[in-house]
Amino acid sequence: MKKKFKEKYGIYFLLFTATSSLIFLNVALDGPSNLGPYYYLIIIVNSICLCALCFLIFIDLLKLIRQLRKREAGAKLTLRMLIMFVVFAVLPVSILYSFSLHSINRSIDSWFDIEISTALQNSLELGRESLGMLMRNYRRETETLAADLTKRKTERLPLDLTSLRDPNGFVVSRYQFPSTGLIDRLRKRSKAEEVLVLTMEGQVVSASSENASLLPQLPTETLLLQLNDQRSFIGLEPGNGGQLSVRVALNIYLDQKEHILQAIYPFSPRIDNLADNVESGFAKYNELEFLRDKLKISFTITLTLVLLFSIAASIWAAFFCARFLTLPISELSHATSAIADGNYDTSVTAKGDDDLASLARSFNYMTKKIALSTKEIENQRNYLDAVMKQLSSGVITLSDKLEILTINRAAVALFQIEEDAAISKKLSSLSENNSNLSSFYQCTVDLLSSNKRTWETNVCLNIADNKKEILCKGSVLSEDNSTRISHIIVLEDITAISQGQRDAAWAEMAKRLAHEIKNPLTPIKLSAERLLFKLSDKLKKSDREKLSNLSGTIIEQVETMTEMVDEFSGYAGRNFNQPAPLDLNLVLTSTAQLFQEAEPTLEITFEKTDEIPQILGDANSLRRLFNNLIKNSIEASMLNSGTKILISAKYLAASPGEIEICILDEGIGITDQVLQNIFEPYVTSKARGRGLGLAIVKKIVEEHNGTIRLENAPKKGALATVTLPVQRPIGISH
Amino acid sequence: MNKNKILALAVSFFSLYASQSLAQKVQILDLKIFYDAQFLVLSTKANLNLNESIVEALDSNILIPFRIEIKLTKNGFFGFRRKTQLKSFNFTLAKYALGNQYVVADQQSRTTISFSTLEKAKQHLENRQRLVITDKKSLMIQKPTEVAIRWRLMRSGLPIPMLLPTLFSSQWKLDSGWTFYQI
Repeated sequence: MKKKFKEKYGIYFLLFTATSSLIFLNVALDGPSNLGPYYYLIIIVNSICLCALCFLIFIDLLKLIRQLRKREAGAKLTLRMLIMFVVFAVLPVSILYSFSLHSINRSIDSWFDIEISTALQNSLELGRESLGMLMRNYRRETETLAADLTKRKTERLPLDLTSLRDPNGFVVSRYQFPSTGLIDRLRKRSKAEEVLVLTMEGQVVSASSENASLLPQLPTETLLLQLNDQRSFIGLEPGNGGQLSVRVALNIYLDQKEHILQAIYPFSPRIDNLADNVESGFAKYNELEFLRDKLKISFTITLTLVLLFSIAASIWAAFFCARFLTLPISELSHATSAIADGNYDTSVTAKGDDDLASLARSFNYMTKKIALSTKEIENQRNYLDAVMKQLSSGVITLSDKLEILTINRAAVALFQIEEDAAISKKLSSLSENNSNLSSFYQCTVDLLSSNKRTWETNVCLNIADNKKEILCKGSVLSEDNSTRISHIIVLEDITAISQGQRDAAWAEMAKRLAHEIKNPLTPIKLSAERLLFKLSDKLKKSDREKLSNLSGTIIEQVETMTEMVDEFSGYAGRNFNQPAPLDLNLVLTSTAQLFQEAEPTLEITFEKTDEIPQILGDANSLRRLFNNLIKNSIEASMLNSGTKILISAKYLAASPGEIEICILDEGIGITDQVLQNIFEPYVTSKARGRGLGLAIVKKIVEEHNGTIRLENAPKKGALATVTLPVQRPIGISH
Repeated sequence: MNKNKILALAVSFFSLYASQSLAQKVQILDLKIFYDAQFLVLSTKANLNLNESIVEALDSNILIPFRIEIKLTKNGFFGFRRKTQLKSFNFTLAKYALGNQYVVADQQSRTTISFSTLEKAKQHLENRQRLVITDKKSLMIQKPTEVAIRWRLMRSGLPIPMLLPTLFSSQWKLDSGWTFYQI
């Protein structure tokens, strides 16, 4: 602030000094003035002021060049203003300069008209002639005076003049001289102002003066020399006060010695005045003519200084004015950049009441609005992010180049990729290392490239060795090239839904089949039995045997079909009727013992854990569940010469608590192909199996709100793991 | 521009200035300093080299001012001379057109003497007699040890349009420089 204050008043002082010195310069040239001794100083001050102004302009120019290179806001405007000011200032000032210069030169030249010069010369000549005539008269007068002086016998009186102040001995006291009265009379007669009689050495012998001045106007050495050469002297003498007089000096003989007679004659005031006018006029004209070129140069210098000052001042004014305009613009530009960078606390100073202040106020208002909108958008985004994170469905947004822009948690879990690694990567490049993404990409790439606004497809993924069915729904978000997001894909895991749908369909089919088939089976069996009963006595032995075989076959197959129908019924229907608290230790112990007795060659062991809480479940269903699993294990062990089947149950204390039952055998294991759909109906690896056993097992587990998992054991055999909740009410699992 | 270049430029400038000054130097031919009854008086004679430019200006009725400067000094601190008194005597040489004469005017005594030729006027101007410097009383108080005299043409007394052209003209630099005399 202080610096600006100093700079501001420094400039004002500089301009004031420059203006003053220019005025003084002009005054000095205008005419006679007392500024002659200070002329050099004025020129120096002018030069210093001009140099200082040029230096300031140079500094400002350097700043401007730097700003232009950095492309700072306001730099080009300053340049434009500068050019404008210079053009609008230089042009008229230059024209004025050239015209003024031309005008002055012509005016100066016009002073020296040949006619005026001739007139002056002639008047001078006329004056000289007139004065010459007068001088000749005065000479004659002096000669007459000299003659009179020489002729008359003079009274000689000694005069003691030693009391007079006469250090150079001009006045001689030794000589006897003509009386003062005589000189006086002669002087008055001749109308001289002063008459002196001197020795040839210049010493005063006698004197008479009209002015009664103590010291007479003594002749100069030159005059004395001239008279010594026997030449008389007559000369025009300009006096101290401008009075003109004529000095006439002649050689005379007094006392047989050569003396000098000097007389000074004044001109009349009128002639004096006229002579003075002619002299001064001619002298002035002559002086001017001599100074003609120098005067032109001086005026040229003055005008040039004025021109330079005008241009410099206009350039400086351009910078000064530009500063007022560009400062707010620059501030506005910086504020805009700050806002673009996200700093919404920025504001611009709005001083005054002009357009720029109004713009600044509008800008500040806009900034506040943007800040509020941004905050709102941010809140919305945060809300959306939170919703997206919690969404169970996966959401992926892709750019038009199929680069992943956003991916939510569910999608990350689905594809088992790192979110940070996926963002901004192309789907094609990510799918190279990820089999799930690869499947997804292959299924969806054509749809993404198509022109469809919305599309839907199912993709099968293998997640944690589990086959998942994913429903992909895609839509195009924007066709405008300016926005990045192009596609949005929603991924829903419909595995459970599909499975449930399939299970429901199977159950329904099983139920209908059971119902439709079971009905005719009883009459078929009864009819076959009745036929056997009725006809066995009436037929021959061979026919009786044949009838017995055939009806036996019919009855056997009917029973087989009845079993199958019962199994279907078991799959289709509810497997629990009376939920009650159960101790699984007891159930498993009894089941293990039952199978151990039936298969003594195998070692079927139940590892009992003391602390197992009770569960709520249907005992019959659970027995059936464990029966099926153990039966499968026994059959598999038989095929692989396995000897052990280990059953264990342990309590998993996680909340809510669960009981985990494991059945490990040493059987042939399960192939991967079968493992994928092992719990679906009609999926079996047995030659004679109907494939409903594990489907029923899964149904029972789900009805008890549990889970079942079947996998191959690390070494050999298979491991079935069933988890059942503790103390939870049993409900429909689908 | 480095310091060496600036120094060289300054030396050249002042050398040129000095050389031009020396070329036109006014020669002081004679100087007499003596005591009058109550005053210290000085009589001096110099040789003024009135070149063509000056003569031309004179003939064009330009008043040419001259000045004789006399200063009394005494020894000061560290060997420097200390000025005790400075006195100037101003004369002018001009042409009187009407009488076709050259007039020498003494500004102090307000006297003018005219001469028919420039040479006579110059001779008169060059021969200055009995210039009163100071009174004895002042001398006793100030006790100066030296008298310095300088003859020069006063360019500042010329018409203003001539000031700039004569600034760098060697022909107008009539200056004897200070000449010191012991008293």
